[in-house]
Amino acid sequence: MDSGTVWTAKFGNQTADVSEFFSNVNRLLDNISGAQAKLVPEHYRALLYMIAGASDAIENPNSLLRPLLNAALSFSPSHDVLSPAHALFLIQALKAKQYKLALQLLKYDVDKFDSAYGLTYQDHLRFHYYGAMVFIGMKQYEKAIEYLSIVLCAPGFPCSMVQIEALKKTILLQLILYGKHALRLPRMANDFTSHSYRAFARAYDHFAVAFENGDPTVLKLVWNQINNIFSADGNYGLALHALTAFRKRRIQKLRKTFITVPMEYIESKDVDILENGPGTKEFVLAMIQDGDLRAQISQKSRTSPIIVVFQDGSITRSHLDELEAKLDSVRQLNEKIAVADRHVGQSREYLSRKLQSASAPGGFLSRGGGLEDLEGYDDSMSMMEL
Amino acid sequence: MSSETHANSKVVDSLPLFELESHIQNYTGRNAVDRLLFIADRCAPLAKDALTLAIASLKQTAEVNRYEDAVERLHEIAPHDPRATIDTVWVDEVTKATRSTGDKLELELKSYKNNLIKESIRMGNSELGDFYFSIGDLSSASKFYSRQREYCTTHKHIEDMSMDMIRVAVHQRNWSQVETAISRIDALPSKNSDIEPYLKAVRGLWSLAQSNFALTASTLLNVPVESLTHFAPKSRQKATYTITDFVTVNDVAVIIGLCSLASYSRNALKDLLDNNANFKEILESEAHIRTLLDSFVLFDYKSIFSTLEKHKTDYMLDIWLADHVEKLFDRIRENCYTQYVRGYKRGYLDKMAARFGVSQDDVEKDLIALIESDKVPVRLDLENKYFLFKSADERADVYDHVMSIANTFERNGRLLLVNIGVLRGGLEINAKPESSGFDPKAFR
Repeated sequence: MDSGTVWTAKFGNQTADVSEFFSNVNRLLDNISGAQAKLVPEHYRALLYMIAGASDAIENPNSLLRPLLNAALSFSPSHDVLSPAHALFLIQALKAKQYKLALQLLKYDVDKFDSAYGLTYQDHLRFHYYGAMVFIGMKQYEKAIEYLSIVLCAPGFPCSMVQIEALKKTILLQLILYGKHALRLPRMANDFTSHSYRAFARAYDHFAVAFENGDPTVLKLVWNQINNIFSADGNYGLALHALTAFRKRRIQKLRKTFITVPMEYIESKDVDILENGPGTKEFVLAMIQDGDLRAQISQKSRTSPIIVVFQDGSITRSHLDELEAKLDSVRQLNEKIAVADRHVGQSREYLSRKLQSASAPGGFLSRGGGLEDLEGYDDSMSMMEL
Repeated sequence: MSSETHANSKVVDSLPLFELESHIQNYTGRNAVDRLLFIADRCAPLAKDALTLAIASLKQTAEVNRYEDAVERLHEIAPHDPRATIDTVWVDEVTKATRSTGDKLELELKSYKNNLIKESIRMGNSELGDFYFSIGDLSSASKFYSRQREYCTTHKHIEDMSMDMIRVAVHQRNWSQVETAISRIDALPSKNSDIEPYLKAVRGLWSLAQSNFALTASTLLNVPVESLTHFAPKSRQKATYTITDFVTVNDVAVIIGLCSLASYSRNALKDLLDNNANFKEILESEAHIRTLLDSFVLFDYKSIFSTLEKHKTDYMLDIWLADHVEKLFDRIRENCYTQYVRGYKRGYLDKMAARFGVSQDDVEKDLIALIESDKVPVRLDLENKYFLFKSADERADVYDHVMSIANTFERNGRLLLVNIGVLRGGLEINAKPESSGFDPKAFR
């Protein structure tokens, strides 16, 4: 670690050749494990911040990404421990729009945290928030919602600004994916947080209500009133995606009603809220090609009307493979939860808490024991309910 | 009827099939007057006749206010009609008599209260309620009936009081009060079985007011036909409650008929027509309803719609049905479409249009609206003009269900693991101020 301090000093004095410096930093960070970082957390953190902070001073800031990624990956062999490098790397990757590189880190789920590494709750919140932004950039909206839910349900008090921003994005993402959003947080979020969210994301709620209502006139009206809020929040792009999703959804809904339908009829139902998108024919074609609409376009002759023929979905081999993979992943998760349950049950905090409650009337011996007594754990949620 | 209801009323321009004078002979007392005033409100061609008959009926009662209103309304329509002038002699006489009766009853009640005789106070309130009911002051009647509550000492007293309240509340269309009174009777350990048909009829009308047509039909089907033909004697005694105060057997036949057409499947209706003796008897009073139901069972939809249109004015002038006719007709159309498409794997729209006696475009529009609201399980081929019954793809449904459960488990499990890790690692959110490093707009 001493050599890290030296490198930091060298870089600060701008005496070393930059490329040589980075290759050396890269090598150094590759060799620092989590256990070593734990010995001098402040120095390790300072080194990482120095590297991240150098992005404005050098010609090619992308060259900073690899050292940070290596630092995050080499922190623990199982890659499931949050390091100080995680959030820093994601910030730099987002700035450089290097989403694919960021996915190399995000393919590993992180569920181990330790404040002894100099981490704070902000590292955890920001890692998951920025992770969600990477997934948004890659249009992996399901995964983005999962990461944002982790931010929303982070235990503690009061609610963080990151959480409020996460809620705003969650609302828009849920509209894009499911066409609806009930302003209701996952069950693990505490009541205080839920109330705070409602107060801070009111405009988003109005937008969601208008979206769900399905009336394009109302949605346009609401959009005109609040699009400056989306812009001020940095969510304008995502909100535009939501408007496109609204348009798509109206066309997708026709599949439920029709087997074949003239393009003319679709044109009569299609509404482009901002009136600057492609025409209905081009839009439908793009939806078919992007896999957003299972349909084909047919025209018997040059003069006959264009017909959209909707196709039925059926279960194929790939669906079954997907199901198998999903069940495998659920089994692995279940095992991890069982291990975590055992660890919690054996921890000193848990046992002391149990002993305290055992001495109270109706204490823990009579109530059994388990995860439900863990602080911050929603006691209405049993493993079976998961 | 409140003035608010009048303002929202739907006026009918055509004449009904019934002849007003003979039609109104089916009804007695307040029911007859209510219906005449309602018809005068809704049907301009019959307004004069209805008001004339209403005025004549009102002069048999002590309802001076309603009499004066009716005469004023007649005066607006037919200023030169001799009956459009208030009979001041009659008004003075009745007003004087009612004032003296009212004063006497109030005085008696006061003396009962001074003597603290519970039963007499209850009776006094009840008599005052009856008195105000007889002069058409329903809110005062309701007030005095409800004041009996604290002086009731037996179950019979509570039952009588509740029945009084129900009678007034139904005339006022105060359904929450009806609900309270019925619940009070239901909570009694024992009750007079004779009032059961009356309560069922009231429940039926209440369901109709809520547009719950299936419940209306099933409730009214349990009202025995004998109780629907029993009229209260002219010299009415206390505690005489008859369903005919509100509806007759003909009205019930029409209500059940339309409500069952709107909400029952063909098989359920066929079963009713074959096996429910009470229903069959009720239907004898309204032949056209029997024909309608038979047409439904025989898939003769064209005849159903022509019969409904033919009798629409009659329904629009029925005090109970009027506000629900459009909704009932829509539901009947939906039910007919649903029953029709259920028989086909693939059906052609031109044939369907012919069966319903409407244009192909109308069938197309109706079907699109019904499919969009999940009422009929078909999909349309607008190129070849046919519909295809949507069979349930159970395999796909199971797949979607399993994937959805697995996704929820995964999401919640991950959340749980992360939160356990956060708590064990001591990374809970705390009140320490956040550093300024977080900028949500940094990556726009």
